[in-house]
Amino acid sequence: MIAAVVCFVSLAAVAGACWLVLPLLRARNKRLLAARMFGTSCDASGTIGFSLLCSGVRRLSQIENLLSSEYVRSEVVVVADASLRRAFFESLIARYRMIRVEYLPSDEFPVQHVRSMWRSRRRCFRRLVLLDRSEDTSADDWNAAASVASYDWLIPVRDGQYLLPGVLERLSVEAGQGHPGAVGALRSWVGGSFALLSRDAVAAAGGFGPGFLRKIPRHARRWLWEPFFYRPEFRRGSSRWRFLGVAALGCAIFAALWYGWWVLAALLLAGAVVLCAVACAGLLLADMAGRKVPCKIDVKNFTEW
Amino acid sequence: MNLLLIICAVCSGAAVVGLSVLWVVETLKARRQGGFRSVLQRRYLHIVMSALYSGRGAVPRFPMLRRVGSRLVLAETLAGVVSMTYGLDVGLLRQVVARYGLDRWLLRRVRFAQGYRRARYLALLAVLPVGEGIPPRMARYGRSRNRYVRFFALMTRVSAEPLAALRRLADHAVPFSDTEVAEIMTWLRRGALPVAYEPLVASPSFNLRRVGLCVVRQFGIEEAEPLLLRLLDGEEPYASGTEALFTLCALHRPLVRREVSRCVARLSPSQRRALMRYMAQCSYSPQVLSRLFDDSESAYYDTIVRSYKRCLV
Amino acid sequence: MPRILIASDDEFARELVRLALAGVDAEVRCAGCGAELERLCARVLFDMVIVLRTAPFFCGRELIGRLRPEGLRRPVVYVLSWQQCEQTVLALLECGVDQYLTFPVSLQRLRAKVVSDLAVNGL
Repeated sequence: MIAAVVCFVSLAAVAGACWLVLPLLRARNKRLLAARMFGTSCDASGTIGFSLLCSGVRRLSQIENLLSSEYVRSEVVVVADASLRRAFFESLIARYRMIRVEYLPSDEFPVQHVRSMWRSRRRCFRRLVLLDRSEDTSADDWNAAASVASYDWLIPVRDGQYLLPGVLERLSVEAGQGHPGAVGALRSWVGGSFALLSRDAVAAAGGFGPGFLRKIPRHARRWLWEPFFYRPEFRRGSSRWRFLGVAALGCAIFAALWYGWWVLAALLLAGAVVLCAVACAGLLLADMAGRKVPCKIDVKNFTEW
Repeated sequence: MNLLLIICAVCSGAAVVGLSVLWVVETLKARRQGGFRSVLQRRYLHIVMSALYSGRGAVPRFPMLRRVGSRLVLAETLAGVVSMTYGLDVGLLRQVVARYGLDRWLLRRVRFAQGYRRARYLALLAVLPVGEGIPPRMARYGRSRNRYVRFFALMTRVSAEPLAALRRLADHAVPFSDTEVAEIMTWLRRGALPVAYEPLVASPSFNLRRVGLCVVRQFGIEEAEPLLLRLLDGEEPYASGTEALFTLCALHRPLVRREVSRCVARLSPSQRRALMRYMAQCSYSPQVLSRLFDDSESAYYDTIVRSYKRCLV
Repeated sequence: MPRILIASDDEFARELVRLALAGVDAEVRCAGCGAELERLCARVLFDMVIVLRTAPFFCGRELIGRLRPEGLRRPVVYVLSWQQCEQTVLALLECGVDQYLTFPVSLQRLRAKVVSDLAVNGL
């Protein structure tokens, strides 16, 4: 019985490792290909546009990051409560020279409690829209933001989620595939929860709300295995402890094999498979996110010319 | 039972070894990317630019070309230079490609790679000035299951034989996606082929019409208006009419036309709303809309347009 | 000798433009688009800054104000990017950018423009 369980665990670990690493390898190759496609950076890619809907954002640096995309057809709609976050709201208005514009609710999404809407008087900040709305759930904030969004693809953003460089260009490749309406939602769990949603699909699901993703037809939902957001405050653990852990596991496997404790050896090897898969996944993700591994190769011979 | 456990342990051990090798290879690749590779790319770029500016036409020598990955660095460097510029001496670049056999080497990589890796190598081949033997070998990749492989195989043939470009684009079996049209546009913007918009927009091929409409949009060709109206009015497939309508808006042309009304009537409600949002971005006044849409839809447009107006209360 | 700064996070594009300006009688330096650019500009008054992205002008960092001291017309600011949307070009010109070129770019034309702009400014 124990042996059967151990066999099952081992095979599950191997299958899980393949399930984790192979799609990431594929996604990395796709990302490298997309990086060579300069057409996405210019404004030739038709009418594909992205509206980033921000709920609960508290930092100017995050808005600066979201506005830093080179993709032309994109906008950032920030929903904030001016009565609760007065300093943040006023700093936004002053920094981006915003003026109050007329706000009329549309019937596309369920929206309530919007006090005012603001746009910048300067052309260079025309991609920013600000909504003053009493603080509520994120879903209600996103509904309010979607109702004033100009583009057909919606990306919900929470506090602390920063966009990786070139993400919108990469997403335009995905969004442009297939006939209109073929894709309702593109999601990724890698590097933080991410969703790119078709405006029509969200409207048909009755707007953002509990379980709205399940209302989008299954055939219109797709998964991507790439990071799109990052969190600047994220820090990796100490490498010394990781090294000690790996060394201890290696010694334990060696001892189990030496003494012929096959049950223990199989279990430890299953654990090692999982560890290796996680390490590989981490490396691939770091590569996709553009973080370089520290270089120790001596390049002094080639730096002078 | 012990035998079963040993088999499981061996399987797991093999997986551990495989994943460890992958980890080591990826780590080494990442280190090369950060250090040696970027330095080598700078070096190669310097050599290429010096050769181009010297005007002597002599093929330069590239150091360390026998090291692992160096040919790929050289191919990427040349592809980067060609992609980002126009008006350079393509003859010299062609000589470099031929002298170091970059096209044949990339073709070998294409043969042994799969999926997106294969598409990546084809994307490099599509930009480099390759030899005459390469385009015929692309035919087999035109039947690939991966749409990027198919597209970049097409682009390799198109850029190697610009005179047959329009025929090849028209013959492509799958409708181009927006990104693929954008890639073709960047190729055209490099001056690879002088293109007149009229035969493209009036073409019976859906793919050529898409490229033609993109040319009209990008260069703001207002003279194309009669052709666009014909696309709206004719018995053309649905998608071309919609795109022609968006192109008319991008050109800021008057929309109160019989052809436009008929095309708008054929759109679905969500497409009509998307069109209204696009029209608002193109600064059309609400008066225009009253003839194209009914009252409830005009009210939606009114909410969008008024959101661009300063609140005076 | 006039000083030119090329700013981009893309090392390849930065090097390409730097090498394209190799024959120009000027001191050419390179920087990333972020803090490095602002730090360099705070220390040195450049005659020309070539930025290979549009985003630093649109994200609210007031880049022109940081590059160009109050009351001065220097440095001349060039922007090179892939975008050719009319609104983008107008927004950049409104920000105070002097010249906008799109990729793919003719390196000879870029070089000629840089030389003529430096000559016009008496440098």
